[in-house]
Amino acid sequence: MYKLREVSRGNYDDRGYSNEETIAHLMLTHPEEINNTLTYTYGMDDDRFPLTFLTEGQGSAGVVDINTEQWTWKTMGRSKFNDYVVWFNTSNTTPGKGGAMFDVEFATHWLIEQYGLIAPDGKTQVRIMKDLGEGTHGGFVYRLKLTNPNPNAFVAADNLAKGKYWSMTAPTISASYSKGNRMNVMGPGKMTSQLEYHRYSWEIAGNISNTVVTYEFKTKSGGTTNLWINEEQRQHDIHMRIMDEERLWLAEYNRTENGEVTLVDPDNGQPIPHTSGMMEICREANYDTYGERLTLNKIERTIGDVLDKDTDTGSMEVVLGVGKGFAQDFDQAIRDDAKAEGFVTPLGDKMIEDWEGGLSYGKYFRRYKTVDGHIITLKNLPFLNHGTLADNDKSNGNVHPRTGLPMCSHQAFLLDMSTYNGVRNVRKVRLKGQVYLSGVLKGLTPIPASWGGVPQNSLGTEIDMSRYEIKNTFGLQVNNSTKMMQLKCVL
Amino acid sequence: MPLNNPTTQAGGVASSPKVETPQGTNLNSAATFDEDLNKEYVDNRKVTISLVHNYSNYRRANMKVLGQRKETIGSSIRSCQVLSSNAEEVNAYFPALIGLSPNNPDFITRVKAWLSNIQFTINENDVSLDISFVYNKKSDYLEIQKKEEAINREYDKVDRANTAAIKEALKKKIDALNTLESSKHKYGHPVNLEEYLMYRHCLLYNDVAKDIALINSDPSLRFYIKDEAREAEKQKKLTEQKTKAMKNFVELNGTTSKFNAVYVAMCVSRNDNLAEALLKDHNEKVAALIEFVNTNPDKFNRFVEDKNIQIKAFIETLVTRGELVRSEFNQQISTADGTFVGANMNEAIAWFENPEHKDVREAYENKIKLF
Repeated sequence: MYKLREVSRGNYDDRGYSNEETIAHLMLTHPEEINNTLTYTYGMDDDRFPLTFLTEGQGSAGVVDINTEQWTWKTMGRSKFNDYVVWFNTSNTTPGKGGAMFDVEFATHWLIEQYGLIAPDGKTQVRIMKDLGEGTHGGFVYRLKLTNPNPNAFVAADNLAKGKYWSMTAPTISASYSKGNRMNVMGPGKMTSQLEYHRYSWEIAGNISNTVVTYEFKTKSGGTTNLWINEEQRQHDIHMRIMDEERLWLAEYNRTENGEVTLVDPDNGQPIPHTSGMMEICREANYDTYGERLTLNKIERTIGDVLDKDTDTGSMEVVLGVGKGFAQDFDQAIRDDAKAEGFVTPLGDKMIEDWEGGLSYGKYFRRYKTVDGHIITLKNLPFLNHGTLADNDKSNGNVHPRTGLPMCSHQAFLLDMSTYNGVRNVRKVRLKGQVYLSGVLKGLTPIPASWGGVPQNSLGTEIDMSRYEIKNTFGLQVNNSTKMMQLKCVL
Repeated sequence: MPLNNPTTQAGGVASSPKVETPQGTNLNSAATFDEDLNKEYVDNRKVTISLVHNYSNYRRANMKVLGQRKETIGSSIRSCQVLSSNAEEVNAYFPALIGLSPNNPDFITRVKAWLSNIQFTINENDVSLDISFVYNKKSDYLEIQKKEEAINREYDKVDRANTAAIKEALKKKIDALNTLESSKHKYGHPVNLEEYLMYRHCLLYNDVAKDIALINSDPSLRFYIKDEAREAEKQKKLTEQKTKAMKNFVELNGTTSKFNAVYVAMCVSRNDNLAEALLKDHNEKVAALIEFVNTNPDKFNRFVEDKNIQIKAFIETLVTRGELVRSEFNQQISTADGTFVGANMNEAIAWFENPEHKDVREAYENKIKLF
């Protein structure tokens, strides 16, 4: 370390010098720890990394380190009590009339003999008289009988149309000599995902490392301190973090059902696994679109319904990550509703305020409480306004016709960041020993102290340059995605 | 007013009555036609919205837990704007849906809200939409039908191998169809207003594929729409072509020279290696042609009915054998020693059929026999 200081003497900014040494030492000995610290620090001060901050930035609770590239986890869904029709003989136009039994094929074997069923009309009730086993249309056939004793009553045909759901009611039996039935038991399902690997290289040549640009960096306590890395280091860090953050959103799982990864590195023939990112997870859970206007009705019927899906209680921590466009639509939706309800005056009172002898106009809705008591709070996702997707939308003219904002900013992600049974629902998964690796390929080009202490006289390359190499691994783990959702404005 | 019962004429495939009376036609019959044209008419049609099972690898890997996708057709800007842009149409349809008269100051806001609130869920199964339309006069139906057929005919001209061209043609078709549909309110009303408007929305909603050829080229497509009557008509035409192709195949099998010519044409159309294909024995050639009859009956029929098929096959064989040379950069054909034969296949055919080149043709024919 001392020699490194000697070589660079007089060229470094002395305000950052001692810190650099400390960090250099830490980077060399604890790169992973340093990376976590940086994630936390950046997350505190820069809202460009919301997901990284909400996972890795929360310390050990937000991450899970594993030994293998792929991982699995168990999930348990809600109990199910209904099934849908896959076939009914439509030549029978009066099913059940005169007490006749009739056969219906349902999609699965979930329904149980002796149980009752309620038709889609919500009124017609039948009893399952016999479980006839597998049918010829891929489902299971049940023999049903109307419970209504009226000999002229029959089941209306539209109740038996393909795709119509019937729900089970309690099994009814005779007073004596009845036989037993069975119970449906739901076992936990097993889900899987995988990690992905990233590599960031930073090459320098000439005497660039002796030019250090310093800036003030906010500390966790809210103060400022003298900077410890040069401008290039900062840019490198930011670049890497932006890429990693966006990757957590944009990644799409790429292992086929057969276990193959068809994306192969042409340099070495090795597969390149991709994890499943937050966008994919949200989209696969619940997805809907809206058009010219977002309405409160739409919010209730989409986000409100999703929040109401699960009967889990306890501390629910659900945020609606939104782009600027969606935030405007959300505000407009609630204001439209407030106006329709006649709340014009109170709304005006809030919107127009006195301010330093003048007037201030503008206050915006960022929160909504559903009729079930769920609170929807908006959280800004800057990457939807300024990230790579937003840049693409702007460059390609894919902008919202009213706001002029990129279309991707007019979308929202409902994120369930709750803790269930002491485990955070969303975590960053990392490969043990490969969480964050850094190394230096040193040539004749002097390296900045922040790269770590490399012996001055040893060279790793004959070329007059030096390189800083970083490799990291991560995947995204969402235990329960039922309350995740993507709501997007589309052209 | 009594309704027609066009149960066998669904989808506008009804045999259109002739409005012009041919000479010698009974005048009473013509009068009946005229009378029918002024009667109310119901065009019974259904379209089906199906899920594109274009699942992500994440869902496929976790299918047992996640199950099949439940998809929702939501709203879109284009649909909101287009469907609320024709004031007459909006005034005709929406009062019944939103419970407000067009004079109400909130009318258009509520129309927009209705369109913005569209949420139409499709589970594992297809969903049928009843888009039947009651025309006040049958003549109006015939007129609209004629225009729709013209739109479809124009679209059918598109090169099916060119996805960009399909997209462009589809855009024009949707615009034209929407203009046509938005004029229909003048002539009658939909049987099921909500389902009809949902169909109109689906036409404008980008996540619904209007042509299955686009499904694999656009990952955002989650649904596709099928006009059952049109599909049935297409299927009928395909069956006719297949029947004709089978008849042609039986006849073709009895003529060796024409059989070989059609075989060569098939190989060329499929970009097969003709030199290798010609080495196959007769049974293999028959098997390949049978497969072609099943998969491309219309093309097969065109080959059989092409009066120049034998000379075309002869020229293609000469090119394959190296006796004729086809330019890499254009379609020009010349002899191996550089004599110009024709700028394209048609000119080459004319060159070989010219009596002046009879000797050359015979010489080539003899050469080919030696292979």
